[in-house]
Amino acid sequence: MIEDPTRDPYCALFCLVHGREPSADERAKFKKASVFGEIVYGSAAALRKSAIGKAIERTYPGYFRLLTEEKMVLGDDYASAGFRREAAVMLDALSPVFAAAGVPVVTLHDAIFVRASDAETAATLFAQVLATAGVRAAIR
Amino acid sequence: MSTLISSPSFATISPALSSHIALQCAQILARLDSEGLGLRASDEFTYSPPVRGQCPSVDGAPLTPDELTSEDVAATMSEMFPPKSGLQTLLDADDDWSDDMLASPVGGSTSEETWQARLAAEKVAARAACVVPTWAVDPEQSAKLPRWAELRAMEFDGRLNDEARKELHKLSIALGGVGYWSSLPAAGRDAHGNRLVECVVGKWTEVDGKPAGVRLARVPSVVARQIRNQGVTSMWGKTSETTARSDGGEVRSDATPQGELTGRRAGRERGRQVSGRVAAETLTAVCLPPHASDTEDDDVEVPASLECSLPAYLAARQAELGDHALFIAHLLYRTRGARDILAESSKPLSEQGWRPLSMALLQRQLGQQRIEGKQVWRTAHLMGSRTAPGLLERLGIIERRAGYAEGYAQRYRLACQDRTLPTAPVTLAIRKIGKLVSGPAVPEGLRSDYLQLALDYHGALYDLCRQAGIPESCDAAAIGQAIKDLPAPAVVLTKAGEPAKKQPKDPRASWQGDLERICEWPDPLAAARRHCLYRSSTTTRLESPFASLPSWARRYMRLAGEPMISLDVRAAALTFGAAICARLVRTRTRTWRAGAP
Repeated sequence: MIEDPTRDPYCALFCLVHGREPSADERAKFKKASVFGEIVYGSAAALRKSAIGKAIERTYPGYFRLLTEEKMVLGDDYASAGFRREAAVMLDALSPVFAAAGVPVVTLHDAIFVRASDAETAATLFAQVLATAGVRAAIR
Repeated sequence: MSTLISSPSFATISPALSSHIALQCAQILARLDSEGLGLRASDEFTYSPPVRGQCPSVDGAPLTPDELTSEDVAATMSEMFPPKSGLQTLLDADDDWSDDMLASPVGGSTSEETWQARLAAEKVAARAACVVPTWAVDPEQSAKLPRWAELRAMEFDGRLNDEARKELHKLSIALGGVGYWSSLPAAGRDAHGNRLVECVVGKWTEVDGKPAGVRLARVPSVVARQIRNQGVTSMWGKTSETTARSDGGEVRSDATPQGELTGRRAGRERGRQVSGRVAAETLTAVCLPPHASDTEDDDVEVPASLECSLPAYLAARQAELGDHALFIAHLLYRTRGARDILAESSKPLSEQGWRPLSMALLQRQLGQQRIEGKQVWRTAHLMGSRTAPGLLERLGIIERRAGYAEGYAQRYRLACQDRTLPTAPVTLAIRKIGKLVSGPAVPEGLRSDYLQLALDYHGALYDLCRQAGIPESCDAAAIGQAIKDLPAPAVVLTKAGEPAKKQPKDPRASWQGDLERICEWPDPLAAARRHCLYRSSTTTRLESPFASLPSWARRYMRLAGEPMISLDVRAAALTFGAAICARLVRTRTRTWRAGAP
């Protein structure tokens, strides 16, 4: 959905809705209220009515249709389904790969913590795990 | 008797007083006659001429009949008619002073002395009894008991003012809680159907616009519900007990009578049960399962598990129907004693298997499930639909009307009434003991890596000191005290000089919390918890003490003795949400290709 993977997705979405770059405060507020409040935790009906939903529908109609359909099927479980998907990648898929490479790793939800000396190896392994799981993600 | 009354000596007391005493005597004699104890001519009374000075008087002036109290009359009568013998064993009424007057003292003392002594003894006994709670006292509040007893004694002596009455009421609630409320004498219901009790802080009942009688107060609805639930709780305690016995080898009897009454009648019975006035044999008949009640209480207790015997065709559908639904089936299927069937007013209906159930409660108990994206009540399984037969059938509206009049809820029964079908024992878990916190297993590699985590304890403490602006220290207790001694943040004022609605958050609580979490790490006792990893059952995310550390303290963590760096997925919620959609696209594409001609 976000063409430039190096760009902050929240800023990109803010631009999509408001047509300008956000300030730091606006970004934090937008992330909490719009992205999490409406895309992640909101219902399909609420998303259709929201400004961010209309902007996504206008720009990415295919993704919006998939998103709303998925929300209708999963209902309140949509956010948990995302977390389960995340855990499947960050715990079940990642741990064996790092253990095989001899890199100690500690996970914290969507982040991994490794020794500073293992930084490069860990970044490569992490990207590999995400790609294998079919997740297009930017690592920072 | 007429001779006595017309005696000139009698008349010398005072015409008004003698007529009043004569009236009292006539009443006593009439009562004795009605009880077959009428005086005969042979009955002897020792007549002592009254002395003028002994007449009831105030400042030497004889009292008029209107001024006379019962005590005055009793004193005069006892002087005039010291009984000789006889009637004391036959008259033992304790609520009428005139009978006491005739009851003779055995030991030779006068009846008045006995009467006064008995009154005094009763008063002492009642005073001693009133300072002992009749309900269970909360042990944590027992320090308030002396003050409560003092107030009760004051109440007994009639020395309570409004403030003391309120204090007594509050103390009673603190000490006894629901037990206190349920011990108060019931006084019916008010116009809105609320329970009324005689209470020390209540309002006086009025007679002809004047305060009279007793103080009545309304029982708070929450308390009334709790009192009502006590009966249900005790019933469920009985059920669990029965189950426990069956675990011990005895066969559980499905004939245990439960849940036969509902609606208003059941409410009445439960009220009686709580007040302890129901005979033991009727207790079992009024015990209700929550499903049969027509009142919706949120805090109904149900047993954790129940062993029962159900038709095999139902037991086989346990996974599909769920334990709660099978519990309903059990309520409808169980065998009951003939006495319980007879006790029920709608005997023909109960013989045909119809049982009262509240569908509203049933829905709430069973809840909903998601089928093809739609929320569906689980009761739909039981009730069926136009296209699919259900397990239950409901009594027709015509037949139900009789039940309504008796205060029953709707009646249901199992659609299949064939009791010759084979049965199977089933264990039903009908109460959620707790949220399942353990999800999938934690990968072993991660467990070993977490064991290599360590915290630079002193570095984290120094950082916390710098954040809080207190002198740096490595003593956690000193830091905690220093944070506590910090001044509270200044109150933000509006332009009008009033405190603003939105005040800045007090950071001291946050710092104290951070300190506690940091101090857990070097604590050997917390080591087990530190490495206690588990995954959430709903999100399957890993929950660990590392996650509970304040984020700024992570920079003081060491992994295998080295500082750590973090790599995280940018906008993970969006990314993994999009990943779900991408997977959906791939799945649909594969389905479409597989189904393509």
